[in-house]
Amino acid sequence: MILSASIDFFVAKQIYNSVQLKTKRIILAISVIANLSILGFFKYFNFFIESTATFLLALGFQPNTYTLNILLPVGISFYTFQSISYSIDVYRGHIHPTKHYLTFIAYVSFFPQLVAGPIERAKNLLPQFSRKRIFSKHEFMAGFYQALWGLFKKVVIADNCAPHVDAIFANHGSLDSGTLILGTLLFSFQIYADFSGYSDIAIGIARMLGFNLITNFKYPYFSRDIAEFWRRWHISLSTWFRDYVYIPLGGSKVSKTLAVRNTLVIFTLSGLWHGANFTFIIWGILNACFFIPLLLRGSNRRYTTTVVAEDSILPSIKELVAVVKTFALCMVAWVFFRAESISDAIQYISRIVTTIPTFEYHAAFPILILISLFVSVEWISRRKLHPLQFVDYLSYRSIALAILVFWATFIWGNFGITEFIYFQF
Amino acid sequence: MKPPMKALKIIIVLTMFLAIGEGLMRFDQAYKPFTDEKAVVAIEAKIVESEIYRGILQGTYKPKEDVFKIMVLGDSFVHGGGINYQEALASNLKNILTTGVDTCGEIEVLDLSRPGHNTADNFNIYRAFKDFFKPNIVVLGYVLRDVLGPMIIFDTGSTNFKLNDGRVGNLNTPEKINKDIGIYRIINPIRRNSRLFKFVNTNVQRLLKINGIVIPYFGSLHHIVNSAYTEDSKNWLASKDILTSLRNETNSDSGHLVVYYIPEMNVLEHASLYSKPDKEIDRFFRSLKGISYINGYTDDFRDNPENDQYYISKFDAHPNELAHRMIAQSIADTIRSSWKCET
Repeated sequence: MILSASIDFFVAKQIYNSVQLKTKRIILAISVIANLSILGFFKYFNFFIESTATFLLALGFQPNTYTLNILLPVGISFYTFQSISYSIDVYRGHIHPTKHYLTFIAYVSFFPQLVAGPIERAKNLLPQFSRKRIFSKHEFMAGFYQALWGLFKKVVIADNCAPHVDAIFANHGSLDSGTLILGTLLFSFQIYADFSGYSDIAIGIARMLGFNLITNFKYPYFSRDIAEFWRRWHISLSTWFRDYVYIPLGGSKVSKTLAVRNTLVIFTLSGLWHGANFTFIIWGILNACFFIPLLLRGSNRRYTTTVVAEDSILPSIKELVAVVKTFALCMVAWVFFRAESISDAIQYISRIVTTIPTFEYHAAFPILILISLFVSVEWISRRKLHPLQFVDYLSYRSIALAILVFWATFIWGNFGITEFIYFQF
Repeated sequence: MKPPMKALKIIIVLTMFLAIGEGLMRFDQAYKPFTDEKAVVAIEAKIVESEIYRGILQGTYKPKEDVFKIMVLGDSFVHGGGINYQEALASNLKNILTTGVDTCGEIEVLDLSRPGHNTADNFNIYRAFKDFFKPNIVVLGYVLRDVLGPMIIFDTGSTNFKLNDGRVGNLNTPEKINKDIGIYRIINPIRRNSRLFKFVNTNVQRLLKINGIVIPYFGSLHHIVNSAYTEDSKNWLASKDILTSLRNETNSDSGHLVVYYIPEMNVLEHASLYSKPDKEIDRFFRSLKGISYINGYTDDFRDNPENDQYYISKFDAHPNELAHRMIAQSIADTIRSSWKCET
């Protein structure tokens, strides 16, 4: 991390001081190549060697494989992207490079979001290290409430789903379609609660310390189409790919063919970013396949500002169908994300289609009740950043709700040793 | 906000904090909506009665003179709480001693261990069965909590019971409880009646304990056990007398006592948790002449690099199948080397 950050710190200065555009470009290329090489070495080297060996074996060759026994640095995918974006933003003239090395290191290694995001932009976070921070009771309480809600999502929702998900995915070859759908449903909530829970904890802790991080999730499962889903899911990564890959490639303001290509590129890269496994790549491509029809119809920006059922308590039938359809598409893609291999994922989905549902897996009923309550609370709060966001954090009503969440977390949380899923990325 | 109002608000918030927690806890205990898949493993204390045991009770068992006989005493740690009975100490002991090159030939193992037995119970049951079974070896699996509970000894062959020397002790009901004074007049009734307090206390202590930390003075088992192994503890004094009597009676009955001290399996890496009782127990058994003593903690488990492999759950101290096999192997080795299974 120090190496990666140091490269960008000095490269950004050189870019800023260079007069000629060509020189700026060369220096930027050095930064990007160096960062991606470090990331590639730690994260994708073994994947590349093994994939090549498999390919050569299929062609009848007997390759000598050599793979490295190295530990993946925690949070490498997050801080590498954060560091690269700094150099690019300096190159584009969006920001001035910082003169203080320690400030820049603090920006890259800021502990709340170091291991699992949100992936911050220098424009937002870097100036906050130089600015004098004054303790605000309101901000402290706001951060505390958000972190508390994140903890609830992690230990109550995600960690109570985890044992069922593990059991169902491990034994999918002998289970019926009802149980397999249940496994996918539970995983959908596990990964959402796990990752958005971590983001809430990170954002909350940062806020308690006087820092404002960007929002990473906006109730993605209430999206009406897959394009809206991607504007609400892992926002810091989606916008990173949009700003640094998709738009430089031409975005959607090019021919239909190129726009489709650009979409495929960013979704495939997004899949690859998650890990060196073909399952993640297929997950990305699947999402692209869900997205491209909207792009071709020109309806991919239909829902950019509003939330579902903006002016009513319950959604209309049309909205409900759209939300359920989007969620179902996500569930299909999550099977690839969670499965050990592509063949496992295909077998999983084929068993959903070919077996008769029996609904005999009763052990998950309690967690289904819990998820129903969770979804209800999120639905009521969908116009806010999170359910524990209040105008007055010290009113009796706010405190009572926070206490309720605290005790619910303590009593129903699964305080085992389950790590955050996104720590592996 | 003025200071009196601020103080009032703090009191109201604290009251809300406790009331909401208590309400949620009572709701959870009444309806158990989400408790099916807790990580904590409940240890089942199932009693298995052997054929010999039933035979003795029914009067059909006749002890054979040429068969090597082992009587096993202890609590659920010995009886196999949480595991299949066939994997527990008594079954393993019989298997190990009757198979392999150095076999003991025909042996009989009478398992009289029962969940919840303390030192006095072990002695009482030994006395009740010794004349029917005539053991060559009496194996006592000693655990920390054997010192707790009433130390009441039955007269042999009589239904009347009294303390063997007139002393009595029961640390589960300390006298302090009846003396609520000062702030404890408020705290103790809450502590005794609040489900939230019990839940928080149990879980916090359990989580801390597996990380080698304990909060003293909360009525925890750790606190009770540590308090029980002092020189002036009534229960420990009574225990030592009873264990000495057990040694004397086994020897005078032409038997031999083998004591195996079984440690708390889930906290093996935290030696300091029970260092005081460990030392006291070890010192006593080493001073007790005429017995074979194995300190499972120091001899088998503590410095074992795989010492995180021997518990059923990190939240429970019972030994698992692997630990039972190791304990049985140690005892079998001692029996073989010292008596060569001679009757």
